[in-house]
Amino acid sequence: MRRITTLACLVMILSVAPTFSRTADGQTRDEQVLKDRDLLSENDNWYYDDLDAATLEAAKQKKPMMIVLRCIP
Amino acid sequence: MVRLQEIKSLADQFICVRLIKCNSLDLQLFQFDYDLTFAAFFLSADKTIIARYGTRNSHDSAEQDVSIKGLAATMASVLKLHKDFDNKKKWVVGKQPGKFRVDVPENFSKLSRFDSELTYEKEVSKSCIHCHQIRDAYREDYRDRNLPVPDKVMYPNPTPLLLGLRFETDSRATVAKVTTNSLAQKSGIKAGDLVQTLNGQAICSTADVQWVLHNQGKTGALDFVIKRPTTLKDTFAKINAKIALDEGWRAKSDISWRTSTWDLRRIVGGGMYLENISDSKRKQLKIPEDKMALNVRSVGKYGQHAVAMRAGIRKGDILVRFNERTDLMSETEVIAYGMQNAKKNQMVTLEFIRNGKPITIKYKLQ
Repeated sequence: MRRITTLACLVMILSVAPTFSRTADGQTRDEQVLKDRDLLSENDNWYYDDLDAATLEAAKQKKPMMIVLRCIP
Repeated sequence: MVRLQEIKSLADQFICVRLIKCNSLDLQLFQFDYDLTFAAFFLSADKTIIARYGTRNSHDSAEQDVSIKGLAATMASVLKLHKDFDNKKKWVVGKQPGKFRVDVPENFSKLSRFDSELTYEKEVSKSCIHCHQIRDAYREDYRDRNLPVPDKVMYPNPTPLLLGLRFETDSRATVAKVTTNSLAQKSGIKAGDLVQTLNGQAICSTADVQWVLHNQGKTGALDFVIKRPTTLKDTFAKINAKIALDEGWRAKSDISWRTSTWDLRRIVGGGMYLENISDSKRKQLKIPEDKMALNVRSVGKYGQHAVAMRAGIRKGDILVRFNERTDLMSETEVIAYGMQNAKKNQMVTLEFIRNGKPITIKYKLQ
């Protein structure tokens, strides 16, 4: 499993990406969405699009949740 | 200064969730500024909202509104609130959502074509409901029911700039600048002040301030509790500041930067993108300072965004009258007039100046 830190994911999510259909590195929007899914879903520290599972874990660990909504441009 | 290691340490104290679409988003819970490109919610395990993060003041300068350090500052304040949370819930009571018109975005007729899940295997980005589409659909819902769009929906999540306040990007709510002669300055708020609470709610971010503003009525009262540094090292004074919001306060918002305004340009302007003309151009055209003079920056070329073009409106035309109104001084005011005072399919008459000569053009609103 690829190791990606929570911080790296945060930086990636927060970074301001261009709003064109194809980015500077040549990725289409669809490719960006899939890359985002691959990056986050392989990270043990992030729940990818699964609020129910995250809520259960938050209750178990007695932690607050940080829910990030970031549009893929 | 927040170091990267500290941010990682903060993030490790949360259950981190990435929501990647608004399809099937619970709108009875997730109520925020839908024109943002980045937003974060902080919830307890029982789904009590502790804080919101994410703000925006213009189309091109997102880096002035959000930052990793600013997010970290909000995260730190959320962790403080979450500790012994049962005894602190009174500080977040006002942050909880109200009743929304629909439970999920797909329940708006404008978004009913979307499924609740994304189609990853084919054109995934086209299967996604974007945040701003919730705003688009909400406004169009009023339009379809022949109702004027209420101020709260027309001018959502007002920015603190309306009060004359700009917060430091890298802080949770430290005042960076107070505009001269603004409501904030008159209340006594100063640069360097850290907002602790607003109307009894713990302020963890600029977005929290905006949520309080969002829920004010036609008039409003804002009670700030502020921590102000003193001349003695590491000592602070507690300051109270009050701001009264007079009727019409919200309509001073500038919505031109919002992504959802693109759809409003179609509905009201037939696809026109308007901008204020320069003072020199105004003088050249001999248009008084209190009269409308808006330059057509561009017109849409396709589909429903080409109504203005097909009606004969051209880039560079100067709009000086919209129906009977000659006092609409910005694109925002024109759009608000159309959304709040004119109905779908209503014919409107616009007067322009082109090459120094007046021309009149009519088209139907959408």
